[in-house]
Amino acid sequence: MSYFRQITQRLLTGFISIILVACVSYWVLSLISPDYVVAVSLSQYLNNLLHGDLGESQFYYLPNLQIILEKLPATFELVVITSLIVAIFALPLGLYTAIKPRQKLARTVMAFSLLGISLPVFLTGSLMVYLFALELNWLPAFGRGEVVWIGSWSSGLFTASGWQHIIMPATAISLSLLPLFLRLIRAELIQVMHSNPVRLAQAMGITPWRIWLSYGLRNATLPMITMASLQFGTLMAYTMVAETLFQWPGLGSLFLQGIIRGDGPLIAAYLVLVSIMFLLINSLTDLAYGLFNPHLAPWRQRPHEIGQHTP
Amino acid sequence: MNTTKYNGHHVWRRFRRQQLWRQLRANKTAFVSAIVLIALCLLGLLTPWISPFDPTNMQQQNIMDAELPPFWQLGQDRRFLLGTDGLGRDLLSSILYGLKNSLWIGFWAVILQFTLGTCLGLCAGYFGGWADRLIMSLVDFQLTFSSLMLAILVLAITRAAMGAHDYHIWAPWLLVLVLGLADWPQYARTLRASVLAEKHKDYIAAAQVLGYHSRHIMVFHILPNTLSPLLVIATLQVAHVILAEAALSFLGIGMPYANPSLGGLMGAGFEYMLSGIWWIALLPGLALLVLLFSINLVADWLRDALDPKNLGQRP
Repeated sequence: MSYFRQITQRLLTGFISIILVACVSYWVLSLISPDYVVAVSLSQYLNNLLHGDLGESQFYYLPNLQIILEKLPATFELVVITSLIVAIFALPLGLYTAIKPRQKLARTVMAFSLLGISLPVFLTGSLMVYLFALELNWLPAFGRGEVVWIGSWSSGLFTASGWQHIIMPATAISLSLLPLFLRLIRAELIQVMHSNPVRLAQAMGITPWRIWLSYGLRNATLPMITMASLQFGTLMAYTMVAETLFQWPGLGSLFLQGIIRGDGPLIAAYLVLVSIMFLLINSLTDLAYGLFNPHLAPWRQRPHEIGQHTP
Repeated sequence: MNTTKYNGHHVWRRFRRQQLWRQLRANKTAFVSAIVLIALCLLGLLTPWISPFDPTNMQQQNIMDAELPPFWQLGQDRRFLLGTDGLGRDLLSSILYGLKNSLWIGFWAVILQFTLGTCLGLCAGYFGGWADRLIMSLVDFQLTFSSLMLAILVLAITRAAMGAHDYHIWAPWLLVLVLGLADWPQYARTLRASVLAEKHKDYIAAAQVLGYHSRHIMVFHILPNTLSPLLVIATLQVAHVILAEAALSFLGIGMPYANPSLGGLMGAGFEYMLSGIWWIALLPGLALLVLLFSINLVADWLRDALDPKNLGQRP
């Protein structure tokens, strides 16, 4: 199949999916605010959507798109900082526990990773708030701190207060996600370390560091990308929990407030935008597969087959 | 010809030979966590009889007893061992009822997942062709949305559509249904791979030649030989479902406050924590952590114990 045809097919399926999602969110809208649906028919709703009009919130009396874009930077920054923390710690720890599995420290790390899987985000968050905000009084318990406006983007990453506020929620989320990635990297690396090419390289006297990095980590890249894209939803869910706990003014708390207030148009708009985000992430993942390993043509490989090694 | 000779009943046979039991005894961590887990399950089962109060009974709560600390702190009350929450309910009873609810939801949701995933995985692997393609594209679709996110969206919308009062009546059943339906792909995916490896073996051919119905072959010949990884997944999933239920209740879209759950208690207790009353949020959290950690430890051990690579090893 040619590359061009592939892209057209992707765009077409993406478009159809968005239309389907829009129909579903219209149905949701009709369940939550029936009177709104009387005024706007499905075809009108879809037409507005194609023109970038996501309707008006019944609580704020502002366009939904504007409200959501206002809250987007907070969530985006939280997600980016969390992902950075996970990446910075998961890679070296995964490498270490894979190549020295019998060392005491490695075993301790693995035991803690099992503990981390069992730790809900809100428990970690509550403990941190209790310890660092209430008892020690080191960090603020809630909010986002001072923000700097860059055009219409509010950023908390340029002020000391912003960093003090983001540390606890980001750490709480990453402590729950870190073990998943650590264990995946470790499992992949152990599998690679017992493969024939690595044995050959060892026999040839290639230095261990080179083997670990260029044989080990490089082969673990694809499963990591798969895992990252599959865990994106989990990340969104955990972000929602952390936003509630730390009163972080982001998308997740906006959605939950919309639910409690019964703000149908806002909920429907949120659904559409989150689905578009999922679609984008999926397309990016497919693109990344092709980049990192052209041999694994993304249009032939389905996610459920990646990470399963043929013996 | 006796086909039962071939359909190994892998797990059960090993269980009968007490291999699993010996392996469990040899692993100290797993042994302790299994005992803790069994103790917690017993507590959950016996809750209505051993709990000092009934937190669902409004008559037994008195707002004058609110926010009493646990027994080791100043100002404690002898009637309430672990203190009381903001409404004057005994925290120990609430935690026990929460434990019961968590285990109940975890158990039934996993039964639902297991049944669904196993049926679809068996069909995909055994029949192949369009059934396989259809089921696997469903798997792909569902895997791209994480189960927790899906559950949050579906339950939040249900709550907004039904209204808080109606929703709270149906909450436990909705939780089982949504968490059960949201997480079947893992079973199906794993089972399909093992069925593909298994279905060209001679004992299956023999059963086919003998004229057994394909349903019979799938359930009684293939399934017993591919059960081990499914049991590990199911054990892990119990922890996952309980975690998801706690997160949902924490967000206020799970169990209602009147019917306590560990996550809901934490969500309500968090506000009190900011004014220094830490036990309402942290004690249920501790119970949840112990429950999840013991399930995960047992699952971890079970994975090693059922791994065919470790089959011949003596503990």
